Amino acid sequence: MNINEIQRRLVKILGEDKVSTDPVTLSLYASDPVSFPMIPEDLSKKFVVVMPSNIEEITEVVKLASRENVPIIPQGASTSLALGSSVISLSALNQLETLKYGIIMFTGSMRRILEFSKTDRYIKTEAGVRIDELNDYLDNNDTGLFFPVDPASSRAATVGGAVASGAGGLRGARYGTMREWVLGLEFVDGLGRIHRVGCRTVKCRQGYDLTRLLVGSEGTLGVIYSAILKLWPKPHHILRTLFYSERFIEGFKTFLDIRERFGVPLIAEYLSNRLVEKIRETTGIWFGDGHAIITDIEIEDLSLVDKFSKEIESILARNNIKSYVIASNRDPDFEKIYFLRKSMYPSALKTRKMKYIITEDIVVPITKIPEYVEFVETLRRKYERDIEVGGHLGDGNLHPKLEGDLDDPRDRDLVMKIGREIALKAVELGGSVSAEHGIGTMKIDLLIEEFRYRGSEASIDLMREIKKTFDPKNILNPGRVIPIER
Amino acid sequence: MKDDPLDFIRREVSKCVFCGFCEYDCPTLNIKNDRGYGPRGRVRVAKIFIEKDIFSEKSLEYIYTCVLCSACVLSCPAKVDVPGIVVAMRRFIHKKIID
Repeated sequence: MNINEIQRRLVKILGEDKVSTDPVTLSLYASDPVSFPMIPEDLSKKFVVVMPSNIEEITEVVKLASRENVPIIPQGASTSLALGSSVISLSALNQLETLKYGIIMFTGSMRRILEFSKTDRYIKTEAGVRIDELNDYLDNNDTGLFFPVDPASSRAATVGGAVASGAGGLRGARYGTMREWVLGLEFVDGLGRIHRVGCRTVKCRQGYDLTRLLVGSEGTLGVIYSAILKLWPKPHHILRTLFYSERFIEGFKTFLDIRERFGVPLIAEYLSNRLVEKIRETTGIWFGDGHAIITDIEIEDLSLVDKFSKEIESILARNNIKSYVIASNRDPDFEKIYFLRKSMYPSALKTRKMKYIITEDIVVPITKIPEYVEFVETLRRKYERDIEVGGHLGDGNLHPKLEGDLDDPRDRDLVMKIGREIALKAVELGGSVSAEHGIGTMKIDLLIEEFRYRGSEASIDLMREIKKTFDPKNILNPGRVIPIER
Repeated sequence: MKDDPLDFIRREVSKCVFCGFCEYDCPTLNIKNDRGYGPRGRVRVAKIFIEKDIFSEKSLEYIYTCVLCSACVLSCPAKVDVPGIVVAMRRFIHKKIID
């Protein structure tokens, strides 16, 4: 069946307003931040975009796709950085491909909050509600609660997309990632069957944990319609410290001392000395020079600001840190420091010398962070390529940013080679090739290598079988995460 | 906008990284729920127009529904001048297509 016939049938299910083969509309849904500069051609003859409004419509579309063997690419805000929701795929072995045909299913139109209980501390939303929208809802209703997972893309990222990609964020060390906060899900599997799994409670034993199996499945096991999310009381007050060290290791030791004294910080972020310079150049924000570390600690009462500030100052002095700022959430510098951290990626982009910046995503045990940072520095010298390190010190998740030109096959080859070294070093140090961005297409080969390194190749076979059970015809986001034959 | 409209569009579009931070505050996207009615979509419309000469009826709708409120500029980490792109696109459309 050709795509025109598929479109005709989709219009019968959804109505004309929710189905499009317009080449421009398709182009908007065919991209993500990694593939944005690449513009695939002739999409209108191969793809159709659908925007379902409810789970029944999702089901009908999946049933049609299953009958006609047409791939579905489920999609939230398309902010994933692993090429998991774009029609373009790029493997770690430098194979750049565009999917041949398919239905792009945008779930971002479903934006209702379905249930909320302050006492039970949960909220149930449709897939298209954005993470910041969710927190604004909780703030505007004076609930005193918040949803703590905050990917850097929280203004755009949708609940469905964050669940599907297993998103993390700045608060990972203290609060974990989506996996810890999703209590239940409504989703549609590859045969169009509706599943309602999980509970509205923290304790919930329902046989095998299908809820958490879906978290991080990147649209390959089911299309998520709604999620029940656990909520938590907002921290009363926060004491934020930004400090600079000449060498990374000095700052790192200081971070460990703060962690030892105050427990796991709400956030603990790192920016390399060169990133600090780039942020100064592009935003004008400057508090000091050197490697920057930002820590947030929770305080019960503002009267404790002076006492805790003095304790932090003494830790900084003990580690010979001279350049620092301490601000409570009432202080004007508080937001400025956060903005400095959030400017990391845009500043790296603005000052880049090459066409693309590829943001890597690895995780290592916290004790291995200094060794890893030093390793990236040797790669930088070895390949004479701009690679900047920043990320989440608190949970060992680092994001080396690598410049390159993905449109040039030779340079792309080099970029992917460096990317492989970046990822596999993390495995060697006891970490993983992906922490929060997911596998998509870019990390598939690396994931397989990770399991091979651990002598656990059978795990990949098990995952393939899981995929076949959820999606026997392999129509849900095929070729992503764990590829199987179509 | 002092430079050539196409150069201006090209320059501004090149700053966009498709992060989507701009979408949250866009009044038209919050009504229509289709990416094309938001700033990120409009930047993409301009990009594929100037780079690949792809333009459709939907492009017109996306470009002409922008209310030029600049809310997106405030939330854009790269400070892409989306209203400027939209105005330049409208001028260009008038000149090259409608005229």
